Amino acid sequence: MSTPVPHLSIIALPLLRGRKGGSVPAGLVLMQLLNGLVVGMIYVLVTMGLTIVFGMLNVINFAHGAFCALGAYFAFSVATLIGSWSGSFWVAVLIAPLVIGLVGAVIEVSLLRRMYDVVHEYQILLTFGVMLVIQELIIMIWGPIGKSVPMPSQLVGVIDLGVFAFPIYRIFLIIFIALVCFGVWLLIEKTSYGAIIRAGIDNRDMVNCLGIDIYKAFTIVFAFGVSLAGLGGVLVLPMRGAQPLMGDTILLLAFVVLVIGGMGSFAGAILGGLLVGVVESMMILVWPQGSMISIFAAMALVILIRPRGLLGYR
Amino acid sequence: MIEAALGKKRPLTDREIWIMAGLILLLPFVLPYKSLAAEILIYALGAVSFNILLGFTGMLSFGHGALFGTGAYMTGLLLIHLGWHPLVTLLCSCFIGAATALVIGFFSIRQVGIYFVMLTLAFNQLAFFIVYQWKGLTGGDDGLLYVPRPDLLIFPGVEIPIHTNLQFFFFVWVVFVLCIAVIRRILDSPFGRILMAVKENPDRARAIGYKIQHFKLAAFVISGFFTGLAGGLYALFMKMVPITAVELFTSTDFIIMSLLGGLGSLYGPIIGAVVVKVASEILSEIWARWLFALGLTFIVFVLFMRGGIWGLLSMAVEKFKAGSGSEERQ
Repeated sequence: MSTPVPHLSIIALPLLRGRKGGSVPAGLVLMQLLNGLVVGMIYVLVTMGLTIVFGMLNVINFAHGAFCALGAYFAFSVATLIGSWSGSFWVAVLIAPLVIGLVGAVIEVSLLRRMYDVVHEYQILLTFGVMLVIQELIIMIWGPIGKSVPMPSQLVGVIDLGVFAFPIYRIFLIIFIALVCFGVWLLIEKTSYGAIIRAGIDNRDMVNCLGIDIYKAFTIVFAFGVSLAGLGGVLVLPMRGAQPLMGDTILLLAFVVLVIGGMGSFAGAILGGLLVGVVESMMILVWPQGSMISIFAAMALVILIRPRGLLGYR
Repeated sequence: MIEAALGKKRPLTDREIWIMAGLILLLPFVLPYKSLAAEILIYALGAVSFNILLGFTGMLSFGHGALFGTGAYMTGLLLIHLGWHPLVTLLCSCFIGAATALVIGFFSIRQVGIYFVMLTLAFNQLAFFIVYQWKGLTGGDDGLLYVPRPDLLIFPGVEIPIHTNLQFFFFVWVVFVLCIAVIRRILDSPFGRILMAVKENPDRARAIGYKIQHFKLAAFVISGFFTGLAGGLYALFMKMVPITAVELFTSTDFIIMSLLGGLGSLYGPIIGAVVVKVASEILSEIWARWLFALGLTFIVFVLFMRGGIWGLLSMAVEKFKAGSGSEERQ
């Protein structure tokens, strides 16, 4: 995997307004808190896909980050294909996750399905292989240099929050991802499909015995999980572009979130994601060099002391 | 699945070690660059050490980059700042590798399966970011530059030169063959058999009365010892320590080599290292995206050929033997 890209939140620093010269730690802290929430929401979205797949299929998907990158690139292609129309980004937001879901379904049916009765190590190796292939495919199709799209015109600019100004797009991200999370929650908790997923996470053999085609459910859940990763990639795109290896960084952080929140836990992904995002951007104020060290140390600590994470139940 | 080389089929013989050593000795003369041969052996040693865990104890570690890296930085730092004898620095690399493995292993073996993988991965990331941030000592992102490669002083006045690529290859070759012989001895011993038992059926191994945690930790430390040595050799080879040595990339390199070569045998990862490194040198010149082909091959091997290249080879040999045997009977 690659040398780490500087953390998502670093790019947000220079937006501080307010009284020059005087110390404005309060505003800075508030802004970093908000930035942490933005980054955290992206982690939440990506990890949610990972955690649903793990919960249902009992597979850790090492290709999850690669799907995220693939989503960003698809969105780039869709947006540039449509061109200068102001709605192009929104079409990409709709289409890219669908395409990623389709790719995911194909991979589940053709590859993963053969691996359910094999030890975990080989499942991990398989998804790792898929990750390699997707990353190279991205470079083959879109080239090794990153791509970017302009900010959707409706969301350009900043909102004056009094102490500092904050980009509208980031506010939009927080609200939009919160809505998506709510939608996923509704889907899982309130629909009969969600009931199958919940039952599958609890005891998939029993679900199978009840006459539900568990393999079909696996395919759908896997496709759904990776399309959430794809959506994460799309939403990151206007903010910091798409790079072939962006998936690595996101995957590793999603792992941290997954472990801290609790593997397979929906609420854990939300709590863990926000926690990691906020801690990461707060550390930039306190001890920037230690940001990643402390995050991975926290990950190791959680596995050791509380392997099921903060909110997991396994 | 993996009983091919150990146990069921036949014990490893000393003859095999000599055949392997002889074949490897040909490497610098058939490869386009002599330096590639030494690099292959260094990675092969790392992959074989990695496979002590995955192939013989059943533990998938994503933390071997940390072991390889600490070994490399140890030799690099000792040579730069203290100018010690290279053999002594390599020994220190072994011990720092083993010590790092002791720490990572001590915590990681408490978990199994996915949690074990995640823990080793977290530790590798921790090691990476510590090296990355500790610029004063490690050179951070630039790596540790200007590591000398002095001649080996055997007696006062008697020196073995290792500064050309070929000389250095022979030096690595001697170290490598020694290590493989020792690792073979370890895996073939009752201790090695217990590791296999831990891999095949941990519950039963525990029920028989073995403290499987102790054996897992011992396997981790042994693996770290040789991975650290490989790292030390890498520092000598590169005459620097790039920060990639401690990256997750290095861990995944060992994984790819071991799986392609064959997890079930001692020699599989060596074949894997040869194939991957040669492919990366030759194919990357023809087709920059050769990793795509590597990834596809990797998937095919995981799905259909978990014995790796070694498994295919031994299957072919079996068939050939069976075929010629039946002809004789007629």
